[in-house]
Amino acid sequence: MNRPLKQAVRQHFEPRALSTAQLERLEALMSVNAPGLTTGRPIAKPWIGWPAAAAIAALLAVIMLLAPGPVDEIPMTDRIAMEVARNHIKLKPLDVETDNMDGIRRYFTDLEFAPVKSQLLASSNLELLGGRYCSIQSVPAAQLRVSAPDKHNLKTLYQSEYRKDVFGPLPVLENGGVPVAVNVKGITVRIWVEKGLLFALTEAVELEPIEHGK
Amino acid sequence: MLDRPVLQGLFRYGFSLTHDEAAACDLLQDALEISLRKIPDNADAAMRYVKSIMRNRFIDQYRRDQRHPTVSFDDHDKQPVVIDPRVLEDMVIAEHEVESIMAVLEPLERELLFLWAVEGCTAQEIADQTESPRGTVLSRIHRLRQKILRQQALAGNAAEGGAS
Repeated sequence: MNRPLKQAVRQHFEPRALSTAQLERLEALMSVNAPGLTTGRPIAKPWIGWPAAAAIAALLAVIMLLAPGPVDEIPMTDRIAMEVARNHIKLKPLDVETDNMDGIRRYFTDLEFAPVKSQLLASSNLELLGGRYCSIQSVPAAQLRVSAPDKHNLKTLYQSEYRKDVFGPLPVLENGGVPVAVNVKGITVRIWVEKGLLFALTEAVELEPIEHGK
Repeated sequence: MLDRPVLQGLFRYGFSLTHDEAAACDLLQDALEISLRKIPDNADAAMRYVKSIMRNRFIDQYRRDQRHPTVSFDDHDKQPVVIDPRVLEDMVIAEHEVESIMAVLEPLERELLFLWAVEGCTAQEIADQTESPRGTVLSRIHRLRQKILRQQALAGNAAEGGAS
């Protein structure tokens, strides 16, 4: 059946829609970074009385106690590691290519922190390749790409403002903390706090040598 | 700031460029990550701002993508054009042709169709949004019409060949 082109094009695009989960992720991204801003939706007036609300709250509390493993119970380090590993695997194009931190700092002017070198990585001779804007748990971050001296091992180093209200307690290097290592998707992600920033570094999982004859 | 209908509109705009839903979502998220600190308070201005970042970012990434080295985003036609911007209005298309035509169009051609059909933009408004001269937009409209007609003819020949 023939239709006007305009109508056909509209009908091609109309069914395309973000899922609820995708919308919630984008809304979280906006709310974490601009908590005072509303989404433009009107604030709903209460439509039930307080006794009914209290009963619903009690019911929800029971359901939450009985329900197995809600998302909030996944440790924050695991959630960070999952997000970092997922983005590392995607290996999206760099926004800026540079081999030094000055170049990185000149590019990332829209962040509310200055990317820095990590003392922890000072002796590892990682070569900086560049970076791109990204976010961790909806907090704006710099995603830096580095390579090991052998050039065969690309790693991703995330730096983000350490928001304790978002990330919770994490090991602080200056306080003697040791980075948390989480293995996910075949990648080890090390997470720590240093100089007031959250760091997350991907590495290939170290394989245990296989002992034959056991 | 950006409510759900606006986010959905931006997602569809991203889909017009990428022709891939996952890539469109990534593109929108990337643009929000970049623009959050500078986003205007006014909803319309915020949408235009995010859209422009999505477009620039897509073009940057597309240019870097070695899988598609032949596409030009710099076709600012210099020759004078006298084209009726309404040439698309009288076109008709078979329901089954839409997907195949969208698949063969270049990103900027799909974007043009989206802005015209879904957002109801005039040639001048498309020129303003894409920061292109109006003549360039009219040329693109003209070439787009030719391309769709060619595609329809090809589909018609294939159907006749298959029937004989």
